[in-house]
Amino acid sequence: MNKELDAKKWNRIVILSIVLILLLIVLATIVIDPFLHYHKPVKGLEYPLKEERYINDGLARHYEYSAIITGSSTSQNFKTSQFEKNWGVKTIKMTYAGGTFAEVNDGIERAFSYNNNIRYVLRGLDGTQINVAKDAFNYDGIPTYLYDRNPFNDVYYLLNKDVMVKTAAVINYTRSGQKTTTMDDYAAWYPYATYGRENVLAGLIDYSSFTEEYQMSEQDKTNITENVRTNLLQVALDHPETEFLMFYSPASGAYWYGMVESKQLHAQLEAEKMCTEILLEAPNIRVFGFADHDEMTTDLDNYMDTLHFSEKISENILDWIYAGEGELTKDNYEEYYRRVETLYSNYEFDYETDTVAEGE
Amino acid sequence: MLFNSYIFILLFLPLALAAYYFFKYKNNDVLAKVSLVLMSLWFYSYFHLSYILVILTSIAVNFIVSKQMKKATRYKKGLLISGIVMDVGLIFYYKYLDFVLENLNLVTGLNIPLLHILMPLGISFFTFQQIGYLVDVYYDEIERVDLLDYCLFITFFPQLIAGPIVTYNEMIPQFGAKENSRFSSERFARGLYWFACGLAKKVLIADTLGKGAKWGYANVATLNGPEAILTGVLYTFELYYDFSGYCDMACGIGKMFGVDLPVNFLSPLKSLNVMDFWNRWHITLGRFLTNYVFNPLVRAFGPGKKGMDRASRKKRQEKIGNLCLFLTFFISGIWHGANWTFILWGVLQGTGRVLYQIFRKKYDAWKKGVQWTINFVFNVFSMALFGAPSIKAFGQMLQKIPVGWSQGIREGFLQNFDIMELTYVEDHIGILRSFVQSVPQTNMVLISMIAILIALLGRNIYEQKKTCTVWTAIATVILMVWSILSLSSVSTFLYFNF
Repeated sequence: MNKELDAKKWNRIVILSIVLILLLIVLATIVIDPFLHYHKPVKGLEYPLKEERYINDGLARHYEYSAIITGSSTSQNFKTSQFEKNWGVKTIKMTYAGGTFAEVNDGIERAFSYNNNIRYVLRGLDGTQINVAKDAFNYDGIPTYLYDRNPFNDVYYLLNKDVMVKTAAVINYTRSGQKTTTMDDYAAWYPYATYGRENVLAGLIDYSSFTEEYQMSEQDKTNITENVRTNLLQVALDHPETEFLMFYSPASGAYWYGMVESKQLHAQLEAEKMCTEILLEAPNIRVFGFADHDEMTTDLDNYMDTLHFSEKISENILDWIYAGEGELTKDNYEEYYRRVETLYSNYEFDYETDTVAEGE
Repeated sequence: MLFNSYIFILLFLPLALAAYYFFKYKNNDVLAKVSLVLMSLWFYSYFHLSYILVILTSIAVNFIVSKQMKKATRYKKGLLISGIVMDVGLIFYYKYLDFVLENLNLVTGLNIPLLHILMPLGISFFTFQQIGYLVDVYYDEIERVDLLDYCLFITFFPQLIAGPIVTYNEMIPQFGAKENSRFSSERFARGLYWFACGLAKKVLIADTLGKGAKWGYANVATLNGPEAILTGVLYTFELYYDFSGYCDMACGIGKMFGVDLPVNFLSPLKSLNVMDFWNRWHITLGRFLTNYVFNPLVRAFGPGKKGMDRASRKKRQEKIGNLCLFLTFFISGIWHGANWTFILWGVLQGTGRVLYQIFRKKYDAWKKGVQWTINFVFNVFSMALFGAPSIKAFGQMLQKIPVGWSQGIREGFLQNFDIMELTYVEDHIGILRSFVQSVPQTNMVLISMIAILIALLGRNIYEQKKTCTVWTAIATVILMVWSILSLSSVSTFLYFNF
């Protein structure tokens, strides 16, 4: 091994080997394309679809679809098959766990840039994301190099050891006889979830420091208006031929208990009301709210934590939306928010004992 | 542009080499140098286009001053001082003005608005190099002042943003040297090998250790004792691999162009005392500070009163020497950054250095193992301060040392060491998987041990005589490919309180 080589030969061997190995890796990534950046899944290969921020863009580019289910982790358990059955159109799922309105909106806009035949966008809205800056993102390191048409930054994808492992994973997955992840199962977390009161109440905190009713500031109002107009309304105005079905993800009773105890219930509902008001400006946006289904929200067996609900509720929501149940219109939305505020501000929650016990 | 980036490795470096050797092949040294300067300016402006104005202005001013100095018979010292003042002024404006204003506001209760100036990268390095140049011209150590050569001296991209800090006379003559008139396969091979080693140090080791250190500093308030200590140790090794890797790459690239840049690191973590450490760590900074800060300071104190007896003179010289040593380290602390952590670090290193000077005989008589341990603990302590986001955070770290030893290193910390290379193997070998599950510290211990062993037992690449062997060819290919593939990763976006 310590044999000395002629320097010219050494350089030639070393440089050629490096270039050849890198080229082989590039080629393998392009051909198998584990994140579907260049093409659909290759016939004969089966793909384990997992990393949604890496794969969503590829789905939007290369899959055939007329409807999108999108949102954050609260939308991940929705089944495209159910949507397809109800609405009769081919559907993909493009969710972003922990995604802000801005991030989800970027994904939708990109989908429109790839596909001009999108008839429906079903979008879950988290109440916690309304009063947020219009350009806020929850994460660094989002793979934006997969989101554009610039071939030069693809190097981050093509020469990436983690992608190499994903490429190998496609081969192993195929060899093990498994099938490409269905859109129903893609990004769904319900198979791994544990529901119930204990888990949900673990998310509550000590609210004793909240002594004054939270008053919405002018900055809050600006944030809400800008965020909703930029990241929810605009894309609908730009695509009048598409129907946007937007629903507020129904948080658990424990969440509303936290709102009451932290004296933010009125401000939170006010924010949601402002959001609804703006959304109803667009004729192609339909807004749905289910916070008044207290038999569902206060049954903590339906929840994994204060915000994340079971797949059964996801199923119900799709059926409710299809039936037009829970729709907020210009005529009823004010009454809806009054009803929700009265409901939770007067609700006799029995969470305190558990919370204190947790605190101890 | 960073050395450890795709654009540098796959596009910039091959282009720069091709252009340079094309003109060399055509026997046009001037165009070869021009191509290097232009490529270097592209390299520098890649960070931010406005940087180019700062560096070009700085080059122009210093060149005019040096040109005037070369011609001047009078006011030469005045020109030198004005040049240095302008250089220090530039660095002060970009690096320290906001820091001074911030502290002034704090002390006086004033509310002077901060300027939030974007600091040009490497300004500390190229400014030091220019000050050194002015002094060399003042002392007539530079024969001819030439604009192209001067531009190349300052902008030569391998050493532009992080050193080594070179002198004009050790770099520029090499471009015109006869043996450098043509491409040399031997030199290129050595350069490529050094570059691969440096890239691997930075990308594979420093960045991996850095994840743990970053986690520690970001969670100072919740650390326990072992985690606080580990954060300091990891940061020490991260800094070493990061900087020495960068210097290996710089020297390697220099070599590819036929230029020998001075060695900047010589296994500093093997050192036995503070003096030894500074003879091995960032050597060119130490040389600069000795030549342009320490020596002038000693000279400024003068030889002492006439008629002093020999013993008193010696004692006086020792005292002045120690004071100047301390001041030099203090200045070094300020140079490293606009934060009290760096200044305190300078004070700490200065104190350590002076104490070693005073108790040298006793210290050197101790067993080497004891000396190494004391020095290592001192280094970890001072580097932990150097890396801390604030003195308060460092204080918190120290307070955490006696706390929570029964918890051991917790999962959040350990996850930083679950690198793909290890987890992939572990996931595919049943016995290993169950072992790692029962001993979750495995990956951390493994990575730390590799880093420690290479730093303490590994032979320095500069000491290796034979480059073109089968072994180095295999190592270069593996390290290059592995490092390039590690420049990008797939992040896991863990759900958190959306």
